[in-house]
Order: sequence, then C-alpha cells, then structure tokens
Amino acid sequence: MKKRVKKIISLIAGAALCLSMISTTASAETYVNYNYDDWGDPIPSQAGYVADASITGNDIGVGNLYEPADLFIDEEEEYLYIADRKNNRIVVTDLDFNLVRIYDTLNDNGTPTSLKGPQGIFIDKNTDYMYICDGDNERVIKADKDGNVLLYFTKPDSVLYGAETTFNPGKVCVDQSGNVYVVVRSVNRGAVMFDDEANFLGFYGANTVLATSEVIANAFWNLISTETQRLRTMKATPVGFSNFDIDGQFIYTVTESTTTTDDQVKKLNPRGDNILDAIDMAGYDFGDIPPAYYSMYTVANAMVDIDVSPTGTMTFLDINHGRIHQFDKEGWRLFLMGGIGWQLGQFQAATAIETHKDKIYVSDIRKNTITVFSRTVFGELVTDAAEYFNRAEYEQSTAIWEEVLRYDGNYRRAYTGIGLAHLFNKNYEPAMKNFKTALNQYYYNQAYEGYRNEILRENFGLIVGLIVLAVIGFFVYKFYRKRHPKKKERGV
Amino acid sequence: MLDYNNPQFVGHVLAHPFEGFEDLRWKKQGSIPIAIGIVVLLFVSMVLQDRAYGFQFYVSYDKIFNIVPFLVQSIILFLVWVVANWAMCTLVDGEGSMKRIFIYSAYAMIPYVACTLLGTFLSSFFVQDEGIFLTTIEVIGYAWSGLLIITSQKAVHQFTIRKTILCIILTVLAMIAILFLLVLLLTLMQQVVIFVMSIYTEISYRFRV
Repeated sequence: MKKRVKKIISLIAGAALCLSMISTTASAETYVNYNYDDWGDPIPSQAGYVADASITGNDIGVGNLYEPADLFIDEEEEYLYIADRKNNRIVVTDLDFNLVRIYDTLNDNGTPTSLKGPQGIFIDKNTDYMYICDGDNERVIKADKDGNVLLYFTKPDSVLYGAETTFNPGKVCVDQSGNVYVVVRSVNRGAVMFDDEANFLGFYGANTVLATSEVIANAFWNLISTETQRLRTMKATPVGFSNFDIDGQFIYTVTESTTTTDDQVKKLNPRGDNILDAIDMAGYDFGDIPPAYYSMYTVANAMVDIDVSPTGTMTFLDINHGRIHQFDKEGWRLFLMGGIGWQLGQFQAATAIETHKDKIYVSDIRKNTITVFSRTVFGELVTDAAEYFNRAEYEQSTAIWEEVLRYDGNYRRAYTGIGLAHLFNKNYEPAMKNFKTALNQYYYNQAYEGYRNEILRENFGLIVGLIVLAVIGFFVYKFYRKRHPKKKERGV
Repeated sequence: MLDYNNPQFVGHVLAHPFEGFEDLRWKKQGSIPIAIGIVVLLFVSMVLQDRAYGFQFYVSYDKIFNIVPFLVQSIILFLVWVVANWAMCTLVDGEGSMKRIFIYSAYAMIPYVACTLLGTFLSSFFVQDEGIFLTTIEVIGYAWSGLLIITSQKAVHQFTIRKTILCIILTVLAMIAILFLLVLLLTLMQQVVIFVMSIYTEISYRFRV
C-alpha cells in the first residue's frame, strides 16, 4: 500500500517536472514580455518579436566589429550598411549577413581619402548616394556607391554657427528636396542643415527648454542680478537631439537626455513643428512607463535611436534599459522587447536600430554584435490588425483582433478595435461592452450616446405616455386631496 | 411644524435652512437613529460614487478595492468632526451637547448625500457633453450642505454668525490635530506591538534551544 502511494506520488512529481520543463522551453525569450494596461501598470503579454540571432563580425567574415555605431538598410537593394566606427570602415552586407563590400577608403578625384570613426550612414532613396558621418575627420561625405566622393560637408563658416563650436557629425539624413540634416554632438540648437551644395542653411527643429521651477527661478534672479553674477548662474539650454529618422517629409527626432521627457520624441514637419501634437502625443514618454523619478536606483529612459517604417510604425531604442519600444503611427503601443544583459536579445549599449519588413536589427557597441529580431505569429497578427485599424477598416480587423485575443486576452487595443467595428455597424451594446473592457472612455461615450438615442427612439411613445400619465395622476391626486384633506391640515 | 414627528422634521430642516434648526432645537427634536442612518448613507454614497459612477465620466481602479479609505473619509471624518466641534464649542461658550452636535451635523449632511446619490444614479444616463448637469448637482449638494452646516452650528450652540464661523475654523484645526494624534498613536502602537512581538520571538527561541 505504502509503496503504491509512493509510486503515484513520484509519478505525479515526474509529470509536474516534465510540464514545468515544457513551459520553460515555450518562453524562449531572455527577457520579460510585458505590455501596459490603461492604468500604466505593466502586465504580462505575448512576445511580438523574438531574437533570432546575434551576428558578430566574424560571422560576416570581416573580423570583429568594433563599436558598430550606426545601421542603415537600403530598402531597394536590401543591403545592410554598418558603420563600424573604431575599425574606420563601413561594412555592407545583404540581409543574410553575406559580405557585399567594405568602404574604408574613398576615392576623392583620384586621391584616396580614408574614413576615421564613421558614426552615421544614410542612403538617399532618390539619388542613391551615400552620406557618411566621418566623425573624427569632422566632415560628412557624400559619395556614390562606387566609393567616389562627390561632396564634403564641413564646419559651416558662419556667424550663426559660431567659430568656437566644433563640428563632430554624429548622424545624417537627407530629405526629398536634397537638404542634408546633420546631428552635431556639440550643437543643441537642432540639426545643422545644408542644401545639396553643402551651403549652411541654418538649424532645424531645436528642442525647447522645459519651464521647470528652477528655470523660472533662474529667469527671475537674472532680472535683478548684475552682469558678473549672471555669468556665474547656470544657463538653461535645450537638450540636443541624439538621433533621427526620416519618413517621406517628416523627420522624427529622439533625445537621449534623461533630464526631460518634454521633447523626448518629436515628429517634425518641414517647418520644424512637432506634429505629434495632433495625436496628443507630444511630450509623451515613449519608453517604460514608470519613469526614473521614483527612486535613485531606477534609470531614466534614454532614446538613442528611432526607426520609422514605410507604414509609419515607430521603433525606439532605449539604451539605458536596452529595450525596444514599438508604436504604430497613431501612437498606440505595440510591443516591448529586450533588456540589459549578455544573453541573446539583451544589450549592453544598444545604439542603433533599423527595421525592415518583419525584422528588427539592433547594433550594440559593447557586445559588438548585431542582433536580429523577427516577428512572431502574434506580432504579425497585431501588426496586420493595426494596419487595418489605422486605415479605419475596422470590419476587416475584427477577425484578426479576435485571433489576437486568443493569444493575449489582455491586449486591450483588440477590444477597442472590435468595439469600433461594432460601433460603425451601429451595434451599440456590444460596442459598449468592448470599450468598457478596453477602458476606452472616449469611444464608450460615443457608443453610449448612440445606444441611448436608439432606446429613446424605440420607446418614444411609452415615455411620452408615462409623462402624460404622471401629470394626469398628479392633478387627480390634488383634486382628491382637496375633497379629502389629511387630518393634520384640517387642524386639530 | 408644531406637531411634526422626527421624519417630518428632517424635511422641515432641509426646506428651511435658516429657521429649521432653531425650530428643531426649540421643539427638542431630532433622532439619533435617523442621524446614524444618514452617516451610514454618507458612507454608502461615497462607495457607490466610486464603484457605480457612469463609465463615460469616471474610470475606477478596479484592480484593488479598499474599503478603509472610504470609511475614513466618511464615518471616521464625521465622528472626528463631532468630537472636535464639541471640544471647541466648550472653549467658545457653545451650548451644544455631543448628542445634539451629532444629530444636527448629520441632518446638515443630507443634501450632500442626496446629491451624491442622485449624481451617481444619473451619471449612467448622461453622455460626456451633458456632464455639466452632474457638476451642477454636485455643486448644489456642496453649497446646500455648507449652508446647513453653518446654520446648524449657529442653532446648536446659539452663536452669532461671526462666532459660528470662528468655531468652524477652530473645529477644522482641531480635527487636523486629532487626526495627527490618531496617526501618531497608530504608529506608536505599531512600534509597541513590534517590540512585544520581537521579545516574544527572542524568548521562544531561547526556550526552544
């Protein structure tokens, strides 16, 4: 008897052990998969992307990479350009990491000129020319794909730029009309802007100073202090932005600064206005929600890079948490992934991010690797549904959202999507139910308004009848009371 | 008015904010059970306001529901008010007894309770554009109850209006002091409990070895 009990117990224990092993292999990610609910609390979620591989320079066959500072994907050729900073070269591979070519010296009208610490690389879609931030040589090079230098962009000889300001280009991008924008580390007045003949045009998209109490107090003291005192006070300067990406006519900038969340991410139109205002996302913290202010041990979000896909999906890279945040065009949070560590999918100092179709490429200057993430089935579903959602094709998205909910019942945007489909079909009751689950007050209100009007319209006769009845009843009662007064009113 | 019973006096007090409490005092009316009922309703209305308010106006934090803050905000706060008011009125020659202060203050809370309940009920039938009605109801509740508090104080202590306002300000200060002392007491008690517990653990370890 005792033996049998023991046997059964050991069997159960063995089964439990097997089950637990299955569950650990099922979640292969080296970081916690989570998302945020409407209260801003992190909740577990499914992985939208999984880390596929971590590619070293030896995998490509070019020796170790040494601080790969920037990545760029040429959408047409499907080539990946890696700015291998400390090795003074640009490595070009295809998307399976087979070496295509290496640029380390360029041909400047017959004389070779070598790169020194290239930090940024950009390829203009329209002209197919390369723009390389040749950081330590203090110039931006415009070259064709054969390595012939066409133009140098060097320190502007302008009073506006300032003679003492150094020119150390970090990132570069080019807009449709051929204007070149350069992020210069020593400039906090925005990107330095050149025309296509390397003439300095001015600064673009400067961040503003957040009016904190300290800034206001300093402004007050400056009013009443003397010239020498003023020189000694701390100056409030805007934080420069650290990286950008261009999508058609809009330039997206991110700042690494942890002292302000005000201009952390901006989407600039050609005039330099932040149009994230239009979707109420200006000043939004696109990183992890519980920010740094709570304890001295948590670090603030520091966005070092942004990538904007052709569909408008924004992917941010947070160097401090090694985390990737993906948002869609309308500012809905899609996925989070990554973390700090040495394992696959974790980073030490992730500095550049590029997306291409369903893949995300992240370079890390301390691990000296390029990590490739690819979208999961869940990620695919959410991305598809979000596409339909943003095009207001709620009907088509419903089936996909329902599939999403089978993977992750907490994915609240799915409820909003389903609710919107119901709302547009005038099925107010299920719409209300879904919006309530999604905690979406705005659409709930709309659905409720429709629902109420429907009820009022259907029962109009009944309601009017009740009101008439009540009025008649009131007069009848009064008449009755007049005939049969209460004892008290008759007087004692 | 002369032969009103207690429930009828409630209506009389509400409808006559300036004379009602004087009449109540003159007729030596006012019932403890009704007053207790009102305070309980105050608590209920606050809970309902959090739990049952229309979703289009207010999203409650559904993950955790803790009854203690509501208890503190309604019943305990009211009792502290009564105690503080009683303590202060003796300093400024008020005539009110604890029982009367309790009853009169509770009666004065009726508009607030009623408007909160009414607002909570109606909030499920309005859309956001009509939110102004709810705000109006809320403001009416506050204003009416505020007025009643002042006249009830005036009646219960037989004060002039200036003295009434002085007494109310003093009461609020006293309430702050009482709440501070309560928190202090709780923390100190906690310390004592922890101390006793740790001594117990220490001794029990001694005996076990």
